[in-house]
Amino acid sequence: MGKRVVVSGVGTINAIGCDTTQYWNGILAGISGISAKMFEDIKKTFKVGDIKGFVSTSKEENFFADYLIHSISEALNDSKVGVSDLPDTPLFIGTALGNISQIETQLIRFNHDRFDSYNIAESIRPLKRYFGLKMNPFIVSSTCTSSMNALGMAYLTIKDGMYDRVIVAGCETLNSHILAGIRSTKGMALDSMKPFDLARSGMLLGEGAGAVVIETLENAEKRNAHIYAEIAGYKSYSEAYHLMVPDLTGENINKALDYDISQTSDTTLLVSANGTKYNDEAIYNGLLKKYGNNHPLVADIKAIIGHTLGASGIVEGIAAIKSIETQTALPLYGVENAMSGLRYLKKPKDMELKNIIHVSTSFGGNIASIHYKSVNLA
Amino acid sequence: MRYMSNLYARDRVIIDEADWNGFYPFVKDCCINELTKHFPEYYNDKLGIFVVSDTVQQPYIRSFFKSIEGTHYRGMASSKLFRCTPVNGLASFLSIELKTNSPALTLLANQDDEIGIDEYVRLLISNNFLKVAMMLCVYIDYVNEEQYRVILDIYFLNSTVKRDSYDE
Repeated sequence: MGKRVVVSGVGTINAIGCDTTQYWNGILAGISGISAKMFEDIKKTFKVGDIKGFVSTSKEENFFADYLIHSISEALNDSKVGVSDLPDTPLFIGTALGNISQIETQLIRFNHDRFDSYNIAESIRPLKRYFGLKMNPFIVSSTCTSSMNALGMAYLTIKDGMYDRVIVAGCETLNSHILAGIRSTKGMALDSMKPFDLARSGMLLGEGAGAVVIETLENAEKRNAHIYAEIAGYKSYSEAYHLMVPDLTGENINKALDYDISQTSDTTLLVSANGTKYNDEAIYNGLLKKYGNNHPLVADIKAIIGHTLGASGIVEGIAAIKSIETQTALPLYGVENAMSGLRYLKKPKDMELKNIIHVSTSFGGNIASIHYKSVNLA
Repeated sequence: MRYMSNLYARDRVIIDEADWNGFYPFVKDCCINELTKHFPEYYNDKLGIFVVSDTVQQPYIRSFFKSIEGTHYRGMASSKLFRCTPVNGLASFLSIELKTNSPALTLLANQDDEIGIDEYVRLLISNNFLKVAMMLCVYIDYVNEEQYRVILDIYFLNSTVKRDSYDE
């Protein structure tokens, strides 16, 4: 059985909010953070969910570290973890691209002479210093499921008694490299993102960071901390199918949804529908395989914040956590003409929610999921 | 390097002047050799694959950036993107080739880090995500601006191998 694990602090910065309150209010109001942005180095304009108005305080404009520090600080303040506890608290990070923007900056600034000095430690050193952490962060990179796997592995460390508390964060910054790359795969929508729509044409990219403090229920209760939700399960699979295309039978999505849930009426699914033809079809087939036509309501917020890639497991995870805390079911933003029989909401709705399953899929075939559970309704 | 020979490890493989086009198949062959030697019963079953490196963009990024110097992304093709940002590329490639549904993840660590990556991976074993973890440590050793080599260590973890028994 192991120890019960709960979320006691959240923090984020993304296209629609520079903190969790702004983010959550933006989600409830359906505010879109998507706008056209010119990428000067390639002289092209893309519609993206970028962070606006953030001024880096670091000399090297290390936005990757800045965003992480910003979101982790909020999560720590929110959880009211004592400063004296920080040095011994492990930090788990999920990122797909690992601050590739910084590599670009270095290469251009130093005329390609400084590349050898780059490794992931360069990007995270400011974090260790800022928070006074003793341990080096543990970093997972599995494309779009990165921070969900980081969260899942952190959950296991607490459940099995290795740690009492872990900070988990995800971060991704936008740059022309990844935009050009996703565009070349023909996976990028030109105008808007329409997950599960019959006329879906791809994703829009976003950037952001998210952080959560997770700890044992016992610890949180002893500290009288606010408990947002319980993390009741984690799954992770490889499809072993294709580097770019998901298994359309949805068999692995079906496995990722396999939690012990007695009824679907008090459960919602926050899914990683990125608006691409194949990904959404695989998820659709997987949830029909698991639940049939009476599947739990399906939600997705990528249409208003963009796909934050490796950060999405935490950035969107915070939406799931707020959803269960406030007992508000999330809508499926962006859809106009949905796939046949899909059950979803057009607007947020108050309802009794015991469970949210957050499912994330990725290029490369990793599928991960986290089961969030209401502590009050358990 | 911390992650190296142990109870189930092969000799260290060093690839001088790496042929990036042949790198994935080469690593696959190494893995199959070691798997069939030590864990044939799990070859197509619950094998977790963990690529450990010190940068997400492990080896390919350098050659990629060299290839686009002066062109800055002009003509970038998807195949090139996923060669240069293997993120989970190598791990995913191996999971497909070795036909395993267990997690295949890239874990990032500096060569000198004292974090217990294998202890975290062991949690996945004890929680039935996988039975055997194949750890591939991929680091690049730059001889000079033009010359570099890949250092590849492979070792395995399962529920019975204790950490103390394989530490050097």
